[in-house]
Amino acid sequence: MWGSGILKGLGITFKHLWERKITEQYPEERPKLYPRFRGRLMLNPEKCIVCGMCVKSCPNNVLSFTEARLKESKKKVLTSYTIDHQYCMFCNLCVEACPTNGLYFSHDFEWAAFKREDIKTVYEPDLTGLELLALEEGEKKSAEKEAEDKLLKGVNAMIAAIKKNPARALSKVVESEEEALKLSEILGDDESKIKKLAELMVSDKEKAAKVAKAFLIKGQKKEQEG
Amino acid sequence: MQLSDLVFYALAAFTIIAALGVVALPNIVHSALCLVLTFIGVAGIYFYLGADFIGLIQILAYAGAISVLMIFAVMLLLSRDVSESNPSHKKGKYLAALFSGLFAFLLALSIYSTSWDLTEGAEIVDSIGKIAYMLMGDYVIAFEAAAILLLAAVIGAVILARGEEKR
Amino acid sequence: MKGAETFFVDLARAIVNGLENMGMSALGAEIILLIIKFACIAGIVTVNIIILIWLERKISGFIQLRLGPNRLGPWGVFQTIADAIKLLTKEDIIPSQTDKIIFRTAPIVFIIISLMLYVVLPFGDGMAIVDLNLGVLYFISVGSLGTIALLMAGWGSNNKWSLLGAMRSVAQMISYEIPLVFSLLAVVMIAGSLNMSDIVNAQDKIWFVFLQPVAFITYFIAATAELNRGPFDMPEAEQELTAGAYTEYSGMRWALFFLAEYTNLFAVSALTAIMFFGGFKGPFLPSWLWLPIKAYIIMLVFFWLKWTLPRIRMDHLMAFSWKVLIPVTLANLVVTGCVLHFLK
Repeated sequence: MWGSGILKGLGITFKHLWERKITEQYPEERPKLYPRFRGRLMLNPEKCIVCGMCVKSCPNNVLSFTEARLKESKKKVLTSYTIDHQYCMFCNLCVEACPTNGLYFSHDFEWAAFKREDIKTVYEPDLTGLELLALEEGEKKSAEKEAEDKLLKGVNAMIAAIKKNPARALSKVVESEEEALKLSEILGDDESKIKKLAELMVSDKEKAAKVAKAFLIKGQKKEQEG
Repeated sequence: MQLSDLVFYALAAFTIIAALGVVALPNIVHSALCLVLTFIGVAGIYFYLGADFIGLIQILAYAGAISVLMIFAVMLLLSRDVSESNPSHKKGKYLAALFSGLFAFLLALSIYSTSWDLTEGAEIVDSIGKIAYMLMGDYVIAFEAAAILLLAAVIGAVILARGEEKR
Repeated sequence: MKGAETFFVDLARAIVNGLENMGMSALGAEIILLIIKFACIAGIVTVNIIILIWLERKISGFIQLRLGPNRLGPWGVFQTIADAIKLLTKEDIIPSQTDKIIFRTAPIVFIIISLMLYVVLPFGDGMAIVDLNLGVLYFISVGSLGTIALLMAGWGSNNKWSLLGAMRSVAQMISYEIPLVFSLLAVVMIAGSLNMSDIVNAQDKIWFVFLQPVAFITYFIAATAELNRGPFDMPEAEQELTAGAYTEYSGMRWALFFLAEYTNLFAVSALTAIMFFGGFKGPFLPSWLWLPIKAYIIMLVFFWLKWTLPRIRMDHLMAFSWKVLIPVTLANLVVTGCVLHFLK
């Protein structure tokens, strides 16, 4: 009352006027960081045993790597390791997952970069003098893809065949030609059923036969009821 | 022509041009601002005549307060386009010319019929003291009457602003 | 000491004498001296403001436990100069929907009015530019014209924030002018003169702040409101009105407003020193140093208040003026008048 609050406030600001300032003059004066501060995620490539645990533990797909085997000892070695920091949320899961403590959070917090690509860190360990096994990760992948493509081609061909001449195409999974015709009647224009059957006929003939039988039985039941 | 005459003509021209602006400008806010200039010009004429106290009061009360209140009211009450807020009324222009001519004639008549007592080089030193003695001496009744009028106006304003009390 | 005391007065006389010896008429010499005096005022004001803005930023920083400007020069003293250069070289933006004439003239009117205030201030013994008999009245009446400049800025900008800010500042300035004048009137009654030099000389024995403590407090509050400074900075309340009447201004026009605000601040502080703290009177130092020293101390108090108190609400602001300050100042006037009457 009567301005005592104002005087109290003035007293506080007057005291502040002479107190030590809390401003940190950043570029000259470095901030004090505590040991568990999570700065930029770093890898010690020498400690890496290429187990892939970090990649599996990461919720944001920040981490990725390529590997190779040594020709003599068949031991896995790291050929490159990429940390895409822009997706990292500093959850610490990869650091916890790493069995050799090769991943760690550094105290580097100055992230500014001119390009998006610059936010990535790529480690490429020096592998000169080491003989590597020929099969690289990339080749393996392309082989798998080829097989997949082949399968898809076969399925498409089979669907075409079923549509064109169902009796002949379906006779491979059923016992008689009559049954084949019946089956083609049941399947009718149902694309999804045809596709399913065609897939099985290409990959697993026994299973295809079973499924065909099941279709037939179902069709017969329906006929009796109708 | 003396230098002091030149000052008077400059002040008079300034005042008249500003006053014409008040009447002629299509934007009423511009008119109101011109009114401020007119008041300042009139205050300058007061200074020129040696009535420094009156001149300052002219600036304080008219240019500083009353015109501001006028601009305030204009701004708050303006609802249509500002650029044509002060239209010139052509309807009664002959009537207006007649009345203003009559007024100017009466003014000129009164000016010429008055005998002006000229005192050469008399400088008023303590104008405010003289005004004070006059207001509190010879003209005290008029002064107090004006004060009561203003008091009544203030009370009226307060009552109007408060509105009717509910019972 | 004697030479220092009358240094500027002697200098002015020497200039006039020199011009007259060169064959100029007395009137011409006086006019040239007057022009020199005005130029000096403009220079002093500009330099002063560079210091003032730096000081305010520094003090506001210190009060908030920050360092304030500290990059340019020692303790950041060149910060304001850098800011001024930036503002001078900035593009002059005039929004398309503004009232162009009013928008352009408003800052000029504002700065002219605030510079006009300096004409009557006695900076030292016999050092007022024009030693007007009605100095105090002149100061108040010219100061009251500032509202028009603000109103012009607010209206000319054609922006709701600007207009609201201008309306607020005008309402505030008109309301607080009354207690301001009444508090100064009490001092004038004691001094028996409206001449500022006379008022200073009347404080030979005792400062009026001791004779009129109530008037001083009410005057100080009203002056803070007149200057639109915190805690009465409603017209520029950043959080609600962006920058009040100055919202649409940028570059040099904005800088002129800023300059004028600080010019007013120094003028009002000097007036406070003159009316209540003995003006240029003081021991040891020459008289023309005492007034700036006192004015600067008063300005520090203004800064201190601004950076301590939160902004007052608009209706409280008006209510405080009309319901508290005006009755108090009126009562003070009556008491002062009675005491003066019985002392005679």
